Amino acid sequence: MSKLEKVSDKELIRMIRHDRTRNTGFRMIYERYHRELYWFLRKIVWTHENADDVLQETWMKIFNHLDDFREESALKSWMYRIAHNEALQFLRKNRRQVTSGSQDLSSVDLQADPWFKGNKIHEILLKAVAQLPERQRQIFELKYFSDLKYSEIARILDLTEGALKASYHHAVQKITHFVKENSEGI
Amino acid sequence: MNTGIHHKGLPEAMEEIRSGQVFEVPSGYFEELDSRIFNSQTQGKRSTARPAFIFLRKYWPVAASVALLMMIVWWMNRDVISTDSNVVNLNELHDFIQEQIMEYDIETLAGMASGEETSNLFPGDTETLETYILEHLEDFETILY
Repeated sequence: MSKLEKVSDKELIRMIRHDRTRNTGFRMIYERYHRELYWFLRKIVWTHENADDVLQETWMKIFNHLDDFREESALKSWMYRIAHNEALQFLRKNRRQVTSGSQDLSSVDLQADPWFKGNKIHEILLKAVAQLPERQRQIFELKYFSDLKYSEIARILDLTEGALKASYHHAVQKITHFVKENSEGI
Repeated sequence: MNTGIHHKGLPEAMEEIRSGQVFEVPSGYFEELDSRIFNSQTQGKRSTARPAFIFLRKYWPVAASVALLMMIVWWMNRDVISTDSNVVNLNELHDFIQEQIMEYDIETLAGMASGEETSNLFPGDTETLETYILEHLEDFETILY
């Protein structure tokens, strides 16, 4: 077990609360989570360039707001929520700019992306998730693309676990329905 | 193409998305990201968070307040603490009094405190007092140095 793995998130939070250990604490939080946050975002915004943009904004938000983190949820789920909010904001912004020439996700040709190694069905699946209503999408992505528990997601989204599970279940149904409708002939 | 349903109700291919195996990342990206996030202050990048920068941003109002307070104290004391070598340093004067206070006769001190002896020792009005101090400045210096 590495030195970093031995330190709990709570201890890292304590480190950033003290001037002497603050920068080391930031560094360790970054080391622990930067890769998994990247992969989480990559599945939401699809391309490497998009994920890179959103990831930088996410870290900026995390560093700026860590002092305000009240530990009402786990550090990890708090960070995932920030990452997901940043991703949604990025996608909204892209949708608004679509008329002025920027590319909306729905029009992205993933097969032409050199960093995408999936096939057509993977692309359809990503589009199936993207067509979900925003709240349902948020619930699905937080549950499926991260390993957060229902209780943690319910806490950060201020929902009951029952409502969360119901919404997730509906999202899964919509995705499978979308895939069936759009994969005929593949 | 296989679109078989996954045991969680999702197509199996969704698991391949979840595992990240359908995506690739440019080689050396994470190392480069690391330096962008932590070391690019001098490069002037827009969106790279830097704890040191954030720390300064958080505490600059405190630093500014301290600087302002120091300026106010200096301003208020500038007539007392002067670079003029003829003016007695307040701290030295205080130390001198503390050291010498036991040399004074207690009754005289008590009398000075009540004002009985003051009129005999020093002139009454401020203007005359200033003249008195200037005339006896050398005596004060002899006492102090």
